[in-house]
Amino acid sequence: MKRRDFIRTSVGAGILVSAYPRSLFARLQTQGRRGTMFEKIWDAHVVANLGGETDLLQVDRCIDGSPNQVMRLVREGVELQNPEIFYNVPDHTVSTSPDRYTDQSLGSGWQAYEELADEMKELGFTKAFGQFDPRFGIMHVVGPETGLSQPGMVLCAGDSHTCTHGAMGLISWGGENSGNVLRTGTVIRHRPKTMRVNIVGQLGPGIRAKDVILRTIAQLGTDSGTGYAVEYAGPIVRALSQEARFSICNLAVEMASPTGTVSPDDTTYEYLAGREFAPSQRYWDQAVAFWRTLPTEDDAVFDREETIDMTGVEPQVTWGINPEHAIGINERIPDPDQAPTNKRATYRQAIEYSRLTPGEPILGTPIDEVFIGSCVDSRISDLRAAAAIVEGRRVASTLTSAWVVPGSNAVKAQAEAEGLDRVFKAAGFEWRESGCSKCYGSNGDYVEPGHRCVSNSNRNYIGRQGRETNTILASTTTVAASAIAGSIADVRTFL
Amino acid sequence: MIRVTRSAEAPAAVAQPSLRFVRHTGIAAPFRQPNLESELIAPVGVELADLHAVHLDPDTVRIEPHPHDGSWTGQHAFHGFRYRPDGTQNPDFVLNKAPYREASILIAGRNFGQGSQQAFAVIRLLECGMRVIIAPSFGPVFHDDCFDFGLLPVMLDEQVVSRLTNRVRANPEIEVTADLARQVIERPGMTPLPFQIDPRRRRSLLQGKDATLDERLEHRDSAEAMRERDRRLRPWIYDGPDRREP
Repeated sequence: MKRRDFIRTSVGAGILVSAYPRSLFARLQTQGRRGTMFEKIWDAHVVANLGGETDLLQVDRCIDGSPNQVMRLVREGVELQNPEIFYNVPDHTVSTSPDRYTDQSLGSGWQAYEELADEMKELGFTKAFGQFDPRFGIMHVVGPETGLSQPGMVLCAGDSHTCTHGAMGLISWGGENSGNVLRTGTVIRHRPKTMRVNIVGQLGPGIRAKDVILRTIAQLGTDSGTGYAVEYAGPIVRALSQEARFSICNLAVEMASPTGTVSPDDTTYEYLAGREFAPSQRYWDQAVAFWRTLPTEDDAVFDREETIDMTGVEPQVTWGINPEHAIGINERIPDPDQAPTNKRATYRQAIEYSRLTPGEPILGTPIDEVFIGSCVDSRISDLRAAAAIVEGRRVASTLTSAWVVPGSNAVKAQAEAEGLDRVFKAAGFEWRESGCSKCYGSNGDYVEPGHRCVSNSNRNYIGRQGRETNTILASTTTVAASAIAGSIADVRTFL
Repeated sequence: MIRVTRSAEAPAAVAQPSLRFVRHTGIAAPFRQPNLESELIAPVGVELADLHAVHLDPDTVRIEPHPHDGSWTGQHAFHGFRYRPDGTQNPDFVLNKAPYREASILIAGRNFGQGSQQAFAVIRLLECGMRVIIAPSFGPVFHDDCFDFGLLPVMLDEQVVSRLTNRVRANPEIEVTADLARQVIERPGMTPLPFQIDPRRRRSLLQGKDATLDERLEHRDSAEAMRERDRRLRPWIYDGPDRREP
């Protein structure tokens, strides 16, 4: 469906609500205990209460990176439920080398995947996107991009960054065993408490969604979301594009919440319109009418509310060993002795590991590598923004590696159609195939030992990108600017 | 260095872990570093890629021996602690010392296994012989993963873990027992330490299979009825007749 069609149909949505089956709305309106989107969706999916706050929930989508679970169960003769709610994307282990389509020795896992994919399709698991499929990519990019992740769903997967999909106005979490879901189409889950993070104020020039969420985690702490499902709200979130909202929800798990959400709105529906697995023309109006009942009510009650004021906040970069160690680009590296007592030990460890000097500016710190990719910020709008920074400039000669890894084959194709690949290559970046790549290194792409890498990914734990590597988390444009400068740079001087 | 080879005849030397856990007795090794990331348990790099390859394709992928010690299973857990940068063993690391070399119980620090490694931290620990991890708290994803692979995570108060650590350090050769059936940690000469664990997970470990399956199957009729109703109410999320085949 084209954007024009969407606008036409959404005008009539008010009438459609009344024409829509009453039972589903009744369920949502009366059972959403306190009017939050999370609770409305949760309650509409309860198959049975298993005592206390533990419920058996219906699952609408389940993602798996490997076909092993499916095939093992099939061989054991187990009856599997609802194959259409599954999709498989082996994103973690494929090679991102341009030679991956011709060199059989590159990457791992995909060979077995290809052997099983046909068999899976015959069993009804039609959505198996191997590395040769145009829809292949990082699962958290592919889900929304193909329209498989839709408002109002319960979505689960093994990967912890499954919280990304919550930006579509659904509830999702990682750490689920897909084999369990396959057998019954349900999961057992303890109901979390709810927290709303209101993002307010004005975004300064050069500030992106990644800066917003890094600032949020720095303010609230990496363990602040334990036991909560988080909804990001407020005027700034409303004004963000759909792709930027994914970046926010992606890092929910870095504040220890397995679920991050944004209430859906026209931005969401417009993003979804016309995508392959989005509701077809036949059901579109009905679906939009349903989605409009999902957002958190004005009088909803959350167990906890937090407010983050973005006014005056600079581009954020991390100096230490967890995402909470984020500071403004013109701030100085903190002194562990001045840190809150309960954080001193971690600060000392971080200073020692990162080989930085307390009191020194972070701006201008020399770097060895940069990485643009990952499920946070590798969508087309991110690549466009990065290309705008590097166009007509050159990557510093001191860098040993500067990679751009598109989030999916579709993003890559779109970027190439727009000529972004040529911009990156002319600047001295390596333009790679899609996949998880250096964010995590399980495909063999990793940062060289001892190197400092400015990365737009989501984790800077010790050794995350490779042994003895220092990761500086930053927005995609800050990464692009730092690549040009050869050191940690203020993107605002490149605008 | 390509260390992953695909082989038609030789299956990988991958131990299929038992998912059953009732009771285990063994040497306990204290390694109390807090907030130990799963990245440090199963390091990122060549070995992680190897492990992924075996996991995804256990029938045909074989891994060549590690150059340092001739093995590939086990020895790579805690790689950064176990080896010095030049590849030789670090004699100061607890698991490189006797009798901890034989340890099968790890006494760890708070928030053990934070972050997420798609279960590879758990697999690495099992492959180096660990069956029980005792810690004041665990990273949530690591904790979930333990139950999928039959590794027992035991949560005890920080002070209790410290007391246990002191006793173990005083007489490291005295074995410790983790009894899931009775929910206690025991050691000769020590008052048994009771621990709490989610009853569903305990049942699953004791039976060696996902005990929640039966519970979920009990509600199968309700689940199917709900799904049928949902197909009518939200036909667009299912592959309907209008959904073009990919």
